[in-house]
Amino acid sequence: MGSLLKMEKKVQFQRNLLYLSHLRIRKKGEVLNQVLVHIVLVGLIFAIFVFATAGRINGRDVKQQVLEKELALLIDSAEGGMEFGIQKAMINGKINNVEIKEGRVYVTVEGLAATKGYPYFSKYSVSVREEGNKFVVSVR
Amino acid sequence: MISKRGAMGEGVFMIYRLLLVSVIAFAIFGISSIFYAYEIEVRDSEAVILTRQVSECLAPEGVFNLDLISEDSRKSILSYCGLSNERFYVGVEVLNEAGDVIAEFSQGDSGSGWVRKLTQGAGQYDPGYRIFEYPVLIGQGISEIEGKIKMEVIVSHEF
Repeated sequence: MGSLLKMEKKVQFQRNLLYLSHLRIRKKGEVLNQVLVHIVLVGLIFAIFVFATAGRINGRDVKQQVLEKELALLIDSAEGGMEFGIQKAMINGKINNVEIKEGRVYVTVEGLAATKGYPYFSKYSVSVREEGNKFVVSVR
Repeated sequence: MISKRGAMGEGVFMIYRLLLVSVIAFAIFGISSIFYAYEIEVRDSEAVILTRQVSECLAPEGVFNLDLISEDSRKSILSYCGLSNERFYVGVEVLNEAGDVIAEFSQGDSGSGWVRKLTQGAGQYDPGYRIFEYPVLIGQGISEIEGKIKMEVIVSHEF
Protein backbone atom coordinates (compact mmCIF):
# COMPACT_ATOMS: atom_id res chain seq x y z
CA MET A 1 0.00 0.00 0.00
CA GLY A 2 2.79 2.36 0.98
CA SER A 3 4.75 1.61 -2.14
CA LEU A 4 1.68 2.22 -4.31
CA LEU A 5 1.23 5.65 -2.70
CA LYS A 6 4.86 6.39 -3.26
CA MET A 7 4.53 5.34 -6.90
CA GLU A 8 1.46 7.55 -7.36
CA LYS A 9 3.27 10.55 -5.85
CA LYS A 10 6.22 9.94 -8.17
CA VAL A 11 3.94 9.85 -11.23
CA GLN A 12 2.20 13.02 -10.07
CA PHE A 13 5.58 14.72 -9.60
CA GLN A 14 6.66 13.73 -13.09
CA ARG A 15 3.37 15.02 -14.54
CA ASN A 16 3.91 18.34 -12.75
CA LEU A 17 7.44 18.52 -14.06
CA LEU A 18 6.24 17.89 -17.61
CA TYR A 19 3.53 20.58 -17.28
CA LEU A 20 6.06 23.12 -15.94
CA SER A 21 8.48 22.46 -18.77
CA HIS A 22 5.63 23.00 -21.32
CA LEU A 23 4.76 26.24 -19.57
CA ARG A 24 8.39 27.42 -19.71
CA ILE A 25 8.58 26.73 -23.46
CA ARG A 26 5.34 28.63 -23.98
CA LYS A 27 6.70 31.63 -22.03
CA LYS A 28 9.92 31.62 -24.03
CA GLY A 29 7.87 31.73 -27.23
CA GLU A 30 5.84 34.65 -25.94
CA VAL A 31 8.99 36.62 -25.09
CA LEU A 32 10.37 35.93 -28.57
CA ASN A 33 7.10 37.16 -30.09
CA GLN A 34 7.25 40.37 -28.08
CA VAL A 35 10.88 40.99 -29.08
CA LEU A 36 9.96 40.43 -32.73
CA VAL A 37 7.05 42.87 -32.46
CA HIS A 38 9.32 45.47 -30.90
CA ILE A 39 11.93 45.00 -33.63
CA VAL A 40 9.22 45.42 -36.27
CA LEU A 41 7.97 48.58 -34.53
CA VAL A 42 11.44 50.10 -34.30
CA GLY A 43 12.06 49.19 -37.95
CA LEU A 44 8.77 50.79 -38.96
CA ILE A 45 9.58 54.04 -37.16
CA PHE A 46 13.10 54.08 -38.58
CA ALA A 47 11.74 53.49 -42.11
CA ILE A 48 9.25 56.35 -41.70
CA PHE A 49 12.09 58.60 -40.50
CA VAL A 50 14.37 57.63 -43.42
CA PHE A 51 11.60 58.14 -46.00
CA ALA A 52 10.56 61.47 -44.46
CA THR A 53 14.17 62.74 -44.48
CA ALA A 54 14.80 61.45 -48.01
CA GLY A 55 11.58 63.10 -49.16
CA ARG A 56 12.66 66.43 -47.73
CA ILE A 57 16.22 66.24 -49.07
CA ASN A 58 15.09 65.31 -52.58
CA GLY A 59 12.33 67.91 -52.52
CA ARG A 60 11.97 70.46 -55.27
CA ASP A 61 12.80 73.34 -52.93
CA VAL A 62 16.16 71.78 -52.02
CA LYS A 63 16.99 71.13 -55.68
CA GLN A 64 16.07 74.73 -56.43
CA GLN A 65 18.31 75.99 -53.61
CA VAL A 66 21.23 73.88 -54.88
CA LEU A 67 20.84 75.18 -58.43
CA GLU A 68 20.45 78.82 -57.42
CA LYS A 69 23.49 78.74 -55.15
CA GLU A 70 25.65 76.84 -57.65
CA LEU A 71 24.69 79.30 -60.37
CA ALA A 72 25.38 82.33 -58.12
CA LEU A 73 28.83 80.92 -57.25
CA LEU A 74 29.58 80.30 -60.93
CA ILE A 75 28.62 83.90 -61.77
CA ASP A 76 30.71 85.23 -58.85
CA SER A 77 33.82 83.38 -59.97
CA ALA A 78 33.37 84.06 -63.69
CA GLU A 79 35.50 86.54 -65.58
CA GLY A 80 34.08 88.97 -68.13
CA GLY A 81 33.30 87.33 -71.47
CA MET A 82 32.50 83.91 -70.03
CA GLU A 83 29.36 81.96 -70.86
CA PHE A 84 28.00 78.76 -69.39
CA GLY A 85 25.06 76.56 -70.28
CA ILE A 86 22.58 74.84 -67.97
CA GLN A 87 20.80 71.82 -69.43
CA LYS A 88 17.03 71.89 -68.98
CA ALA A 89 16.84 68.19 -68.07
CA MET A 90 19.40 67.35 -65.41
CA ILE A 91 19.96 65.25 -62.30
CA ASN A 92 18.40 67.95 -60.11
CA GLY A 93 15.14 67.79 -62.07
CA LYS A 94 13.66 69.62 -65.02
CA ILE A 95 14.53 73.30 -65.11
CA ASN A 96 11.63 75.37 -66.40
CA ASN A 97 13.18 78.81 -66.14
CA VAL A 98 16.34 80.67 -65.13
CA GLU A 99 16.04 84.37 -64.38
CA ILE A 100 18.56 87.05 -63.39
CA LYS A 101 16.85 89.96 -61.66
CA GLU A 102 18.19 92.73 -59.41
CA GLY A 103 21.41 90.92 -58.60
CA ARG A 104 19.69 87.64 -57.80
CA VAL A 105 19.45 84.27 -59.52
CA TYR A 106 16.00 82.66 -59.74
CA VAL A 107 15.55 79.07 -60.91
CA THR A 108 12.18 77.37 -61.49
CA VAL A 109 12.53 73.59 -60.95
CA GLU A 110 9.78 71.12 -61.89
CA GLY A 111 7.16 73.84 -61.86
CA LEU A 112 8.20 75.23 -58.46
CA ALA A 113 8.58 78.96 -59.01
CA ALA A 114 11.49 80.66 -57.24
CA THR A 115 10.49 83.14 -54.56
CA LYS A 116 13.67 84.28 -52.84
CA GLY A 117 16.46 83.60 -55.31
CA TYR A 118 20.10 83.89 -54.31
CA PRO A 119 22.29 87.02 -54.66
CA TYR A 120 25.53 87.17 -56.63
CA PHE A 121 28.16 89.87 -56.36
CA SER A 122 29.85 89.90 -59.73
CA LYS A 123 31.00 93.29 -61.01
CA TYR A 124 30.11 92.24 -64.56
CA SER A 125 26.80 92.51 -66.35
CA VAL A 126 24.97 89.16 -66.23
CA SER A 127 22.21 88.03 -68.59
CA VAL A 128 20.47 84.76 -69.45
CA ARG A 129 18.95 83.47 -72.68
CA GLU A 130 17.16 80.28 -73.73
CA GLU A 131 18.89 78.28 -76.44
CA GLY A 132 17.29 74.97 -77.47
CA ASN A 133 17.45 72.55 -74.59
CA LYS A 134 19.56 74.77 -72.35
CA PHE A 135 19.77 78.15 -70.70
CA VAL A 136 22.92 80.16 -71.41
CA VAL A 137 24.22 82.60 -68.80
CA SER A 138 26.53 85.31 -70.14
CA VAL A 139 28.91 87.31 -67.95
CA ARG A 140 30.17 90.47 -69.73
CA MET B 1 -1.55 28.31 -20.46
CA ILE B 2 -3.29 31.01 -22.52
CA SER B 3 -6.70 30.11 -23.84
CA LYS B 4 -7.71 30.59 -27.49
CA ARG B 5 -9.92 33.56 -26.56
CA GLY B 6 -7.07 35.13 -24.58
CA ALA B 7 -4.64 34.73 -27.45
CA MET B 8 -7.12 36.42 -29.81
CA GLY B 9 -7.55 39.29 -27.36
CA GLU B 10 -3.80 39.76 -27.21
CA GLY B 11 -3.64 39.85 -31.03
CA VAL B 12 -6.33 42.54 -31.20
CA PHE B 13 -4.47 44.52 -28.52
CA MET B 14 -1.28 44.24 -30.58
CA ILE B 15 -3.03 45.72 -33.64
CA TYR B 16 -4.20 48.68 -31.55
CA ARG B 17 -0.67 49.10 -30.19
CA LEU B 18 0.79 49.07 -33.71
CA LEU B 19 -1.79 51.60 -34.90
CA LEU B 20 -1.11 53.87 -31.93
CA VAL B 21 2.67 53.79 -32.44
CA SER B 22 2.25 54.45 -36.18
CA VAL B 23 -0.08 57.40 -35.55
CA ILE B 24 2.34 58.90 -32.99
CA ALA B 25 5.32 58.39 -35.34
CA PHE B 26 3.46 60.01 -38.26
CA ALA B 27 2.40 62.92 -36.05
CA ILE B 28 5.96 63.54 -34.81
CA PHE B 29 7.55 63.34 -38.27
CA GLY B 30 4.72 65.30 -39.88
CA ILE B 31 5.00 68.20 -37.43
CA SER B 32 8.81 68.23 -37.48
CA SER B 33 8.90 68.19 -41.31
CA ILE B 34 6.92 71.47 -41.33
CA PHE B 35 9.64 73.21 -39.32
CA TYR B 36 12.54 71.36 -40.93
CA ALA B 37 14.57 73.59 -43.25
CA TYR B 38 17.42 72.31 -45.35
CA GLU B 39 19.93 75.10 -45.72
CA ILE B 40 22.96 74.65 -47.95
CA GLU B 41 25.94 76.64 -46.70
CA VAL B 42 27.98 78.34 -49.43
CA ARG B 43 29.41 81.24 -47.42
CA ASP B 44 32.88 79.67 -47.26
CA SER B 45 33.01 79.50 -51.04
CA GLU B 46 31.73 83.07 -51.31
CA ALA B 47 34.44 84.24 -48.88
CA VAL B 48 37.14 82.56 -51.00
CA ILE B 49 35.79 84.08 -54.24
CA LEU B 50 35.44 87.52 -52.63
CA THR B 51 39.02 87.38 -51.32
CA ARG B 52 40.27 86.56 -54.81
CA GLN B 53 38.18 89.31 -56.46
CA VAL B 54 39.34 91.99 -53.99
CA SER B 55 42.98 90.84 -54.30
CA GLU B 56 42.84 91.06 -58.09
CA CYS B 57 41.21 94.48 -57.83
CA LEU B 58 43.73 95.94 -55.36
CA ALA B 59 46.92 94.35 -56.56
CA PRO B 60 46.66 93.20 -60.16
CA GLU B 61 49.84 91.35 -61.14
CA GLY B 62 50.95 91.56 -57.49
CA VAL B 63 51.59 95.32 -57.48
CA PHE B 64 49.50 97.47 -55.16
CA ASN B 65 49.57 101.13 -56.18
CA LEU B 66 48.41 103.09 -53.15
CA ASP B 67 48.15 106.34 -55.11
CA LEU B 68 45.31 104.96 -57.23
CA ILE B 69 42.97 104.67 -54.26
CA SER B 70 41.61 107.97 -52.99
CA GLU B 71 40.90 108.71 -49.32
CA ASP B 72 37.14 108.45 -49.97
CA SER B 73 37.52 105.00 -51.48
CA ARG B 74 39.39 103.66 -48.45
CA LYS B 75 36.16 103.23 -46.51
CA SER B 76 34.27 101.78 -49.47
CA ILE B 77 36.71 99.34 -50.92
CA LEU B 78 34.00 96.96 -52.17
CA SER B 79 32.32 99.73 -54.14
CA TYR B 80 35.74 100.73 -55.48
CA CYS B 81 36.10 97.18 -56.82
CA GLY B 82 32.48 97.16 -58.06
CA LEU B 83 31.49 94.40 -55.63
CA SER B 84 29.06 96.11 -53.29
CA ASN B 85 26.93 93.75 -51.26
CA GLU B 86 25.21 94.20 -47.91
CA ARG B 87 26.21 90.79 -46.61
CA PHE B 88 29.96 91.34 -46.75
CA TYR B 89 32.60 92.88 -44.61
CA VAL B 90 36.09 93.30 -46.03
CA GLY B 91 38.98 94.74 -44.04
CA VAL B 92 42.38 95.20 -45.70
CA GLU B 93 45.62 96.12 -43.98
CA VAL B 94 48.67 97.00 -46.06
CA LEU B 95 51.85 96.16 -44.15
CA ASN B 96 55.43 97.11 -44.93
CA GLU B 97 58.38 94.77 -44.58
CA ALA B 98 58.69 95.53 -40.84
CA GLY B 99 55.05 94.58 -40.32
CA ASP B 100 53.79 98.14 -39.69
CA VAL B 101 50.39 99.09 -41.07
CA ILE B 102 50.83 101.76 -43.74
CA ALA B 103 47.25 101.82 -45.07
CA GLU B 104 43.85 100.44 -44.15
CA PHE B 105 40.76 99.87 -46.27
CA SER B 106 37.38 98.47 -45.39
CA GLN B 107 33.72 98.29 -46.22
CA GLY B 108 30.69 96.51 -44.85
CA ASP B 109 29.16 95.67 -41.56
CA SER B 110 32.09 95.56 -39.14
CA GLY B 111 29.56 94.57 -36.44
CA SER B 112 29.46 91.06 -37.90
CA GLY B 113 33.14 90.73 -36.93
CA TRP B 114 32.33 91.82 -33.41
CA VAL B 115 29.53 89.23 -33.17
CA ARG B 116 31.91 86.60 -34.54
CA LYS B 117 34.49 87.43 -31.83
CA LEU B 118 31.78 87.10 -29.16
CA THR B 119 30.83 83.61 -30.29
CA GLN B 120 34.44 82.58 -30.84
CA GLY B 121 35.66 79.75 -28.61
CA ALA B 122 32.19 78.30 -28.24
CA GLY B 123 33.38 75.40 -30.35
CA GLN B 124 31.08 76.36 -33.18
CA TYR B 125 31.92 76.01 -36.84
CA ASP B 126 32.49 79.48 -38.22
CA PRO B 127 31.44 79.61 -41.88
CA GLY B 128 32.02 82.60 -44.13
CA TYR B 129 35.11 83.86 -42.30
CA ARG B 130 38.50 84.03 -43.93
CA ILE B 131 41.82 85.73 -43.23
CA PHE B 132 44.24 85.85 -46.11
CA GLU B 133 47.80 87.18 -46.21
CA TYR B 134 49.99 87.44 -49.27
CA PRO B 135 53.13 89.34 -50.33
CA VAL B 136 52.88 92.28 -52.77
CA LEU B 137 54.95 95.12 -54.14
CA ILE B 138 53.59 98.37 -52.72
CA GLY B 139 53.88 101.38 -54.98
CA GLN B 140 53.71 104.85 -53.45
CA GLY B 141 54.87 107.82 -55.46
CA ILE B 142 57.82 106.70 -57.49
CA SER B 143 59.10 104.16 -54.97
CA GLU B 144 58.17 100.52 -54.71
CA ILE B 145 58.64 98.56 -51.50
CA GLU B 146 58.04 94.95 -50.56
CA GLY B 147 55.20 94.33 -48.15
CA LYS B 148 52.11 92.30 -47.71
CA ILE B 149 48.33 92.54 -47.66
CA LYS B 150 46.31 91.12 -44.79
CA MET B 151 42.67 90.69 -45.70
CA GLU B 152 39.78 89.77 -43.42
CA VAL B 153 36.53 88.71 -45.09
CA ILE B 154 33.23 88.01 -43.36
CA VAL B 155 30.19 86.82 -45.30
CA SER B 156 26.98 87.12 -43.31
CA HIS B 157 23.98 84.85 -43.56
CA GLU B 158 21.48 85.30 -46.36
CA PHE B 159 18.01 85.51 -44.79
